[in-house]
Amino acid sequence: MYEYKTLYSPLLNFFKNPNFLIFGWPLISIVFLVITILTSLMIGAVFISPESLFLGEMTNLEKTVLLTIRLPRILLSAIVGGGLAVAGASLQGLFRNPLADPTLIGIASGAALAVAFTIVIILPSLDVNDGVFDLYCLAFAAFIGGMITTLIVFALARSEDQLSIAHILLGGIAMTAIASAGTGIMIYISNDNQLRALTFWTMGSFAGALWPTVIVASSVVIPCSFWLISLSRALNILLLGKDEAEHLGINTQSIYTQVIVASALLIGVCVAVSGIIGFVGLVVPHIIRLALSSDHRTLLPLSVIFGAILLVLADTLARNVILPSEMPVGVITSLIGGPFFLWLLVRKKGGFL
Amino acid sequence: MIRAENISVMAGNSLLLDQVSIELGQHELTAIIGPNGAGKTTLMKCLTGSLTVNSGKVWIGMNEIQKMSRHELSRYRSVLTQINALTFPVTVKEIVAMGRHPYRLTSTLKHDNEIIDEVLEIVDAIHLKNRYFNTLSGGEQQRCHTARVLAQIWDASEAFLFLDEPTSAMDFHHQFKIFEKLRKLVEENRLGICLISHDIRLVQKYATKIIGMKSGKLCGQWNVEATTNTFAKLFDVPENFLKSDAS
Repeated sequence: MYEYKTLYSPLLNFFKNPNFLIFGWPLISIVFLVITILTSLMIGAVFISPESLFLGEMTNLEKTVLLTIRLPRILLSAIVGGGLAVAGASLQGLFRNPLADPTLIGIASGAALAVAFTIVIILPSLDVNDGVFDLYCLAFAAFIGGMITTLIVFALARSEDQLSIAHILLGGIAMTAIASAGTGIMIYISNDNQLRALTFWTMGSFAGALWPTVIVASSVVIPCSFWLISLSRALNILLLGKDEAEHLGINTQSIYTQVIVASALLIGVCVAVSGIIGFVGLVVPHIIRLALSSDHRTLLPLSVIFGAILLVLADTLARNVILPSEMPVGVITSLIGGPFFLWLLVRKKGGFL
Repeated sequence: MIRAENISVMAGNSLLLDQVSIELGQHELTAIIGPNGAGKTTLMKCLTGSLTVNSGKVWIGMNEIQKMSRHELSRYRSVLTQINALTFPVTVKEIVAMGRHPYRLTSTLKHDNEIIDEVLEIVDAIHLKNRYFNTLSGGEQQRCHTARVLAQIWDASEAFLFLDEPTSAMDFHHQFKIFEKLRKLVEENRLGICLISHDIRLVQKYATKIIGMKSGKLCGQWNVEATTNTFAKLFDVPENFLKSDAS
């Protein structure tokens, strides 16, 4: 699916110079991220002018909106975007499959089943009509659901101390089918309000972002991202194949386990705080590979930053296009990501993949 | 020196290797030949430490191979398996640089780059250095991986190179050029080579020792004087099939 070219333009050589790829690009992209976040802070139902934002001369209303609603929401979208993108990039590298994404190993669908079960069965029986409590219940359920699916897939794929990639992928597909059937049953027995809550959650949204959610998400996403980045060299060599990596002295079992555990943690937390947001884990790493390099030492850090930028932008759109209401951000990312992905596929005429 | 003592390997109920003993010398180019399913690749996997034997022992120098770590092994021997396609765009230089991974903490970037150029020169692929691997032809890909496995043991002393059908996609010109150089490296005592090949002509010309295998057992060991008649018997074909001037 990639167009292979050797380009000798001096400008491009400068931007693709190994040192620039490892140090220059992350710096540039962090500047982009900061600009995106600052711009996004101003835009919304209550517009905050650049002067009042930078000079701090805000009315009480503006201050409240900024600190309790907008800032946590933007930070959460950045954290989730970074987490999903780096998890996607690592899983694609590990499985040597350009189509690998968080839904592939069954994490997202397991989480969705747990959330459906919570909305339809558990919450009505608890009968606590508290929005924040409900939200925490859903996040916790999604996390547990995602982890259980991952553990089952992991256990199935493990025989005689060997992890089989094919078994992980097939196990993930089977678990997705089972979990979808379970979610279907939940939808069937739900009432109208529950169905609406369920549908909205499945499309993904940051509407409920609060400071505690930001802290919980960042306490998982930041360490796990660094963990994955620290495995970059090994992931590069794994591109050659499992046996070749073993011959070069890499403990492939340990790398498989580490990447899958770190990605499962990342995806579990992201799905828990924001629902299922598609395409970030697929589109962001592919853009970077096509534009710059498949070297994981560049790819993984840049995926974190560009994933964050993409989701901050998408969420800013989501909360502004149909004011005073808002769209689920998952719809926006799919609307951008779907056509973009199709463009990637048709760009090179003839055989891809 | 790599030495195997009475090694046997079972898979399910079938015996893949039956009491095989073999010795690979430091200044030798050993070729393993035999029909499909004879256990050549299994034997090579045991000798490289990728497969655990059910009985017997494999020694590298004075060390037992099962007791060596992956990292130690990666500095003693490198292995060229049959090539896989790569999913993502990676350049030839990046692939050869992966061969230097075992030395990432002890070697310098400058030293590594010199080695990368040297080994690419050996396989006649220096002009492909900045190309993407997946745009190369099968033979070029094979040369690129040969460069990688050479880079892995380039400055190791007493190292071994294992090659599993290294010339299956290579043209005659490059077979000739690369094996002339590999044979020279062996004669200079830089490394020992063990290769599996079905190419009788190549084996007869360059190997210093030929080992025949059939159904999991060693069935002969010849030096250069091995005749076409011997190979014809091993593969169960008429003798003139192996002669290039057969009419």
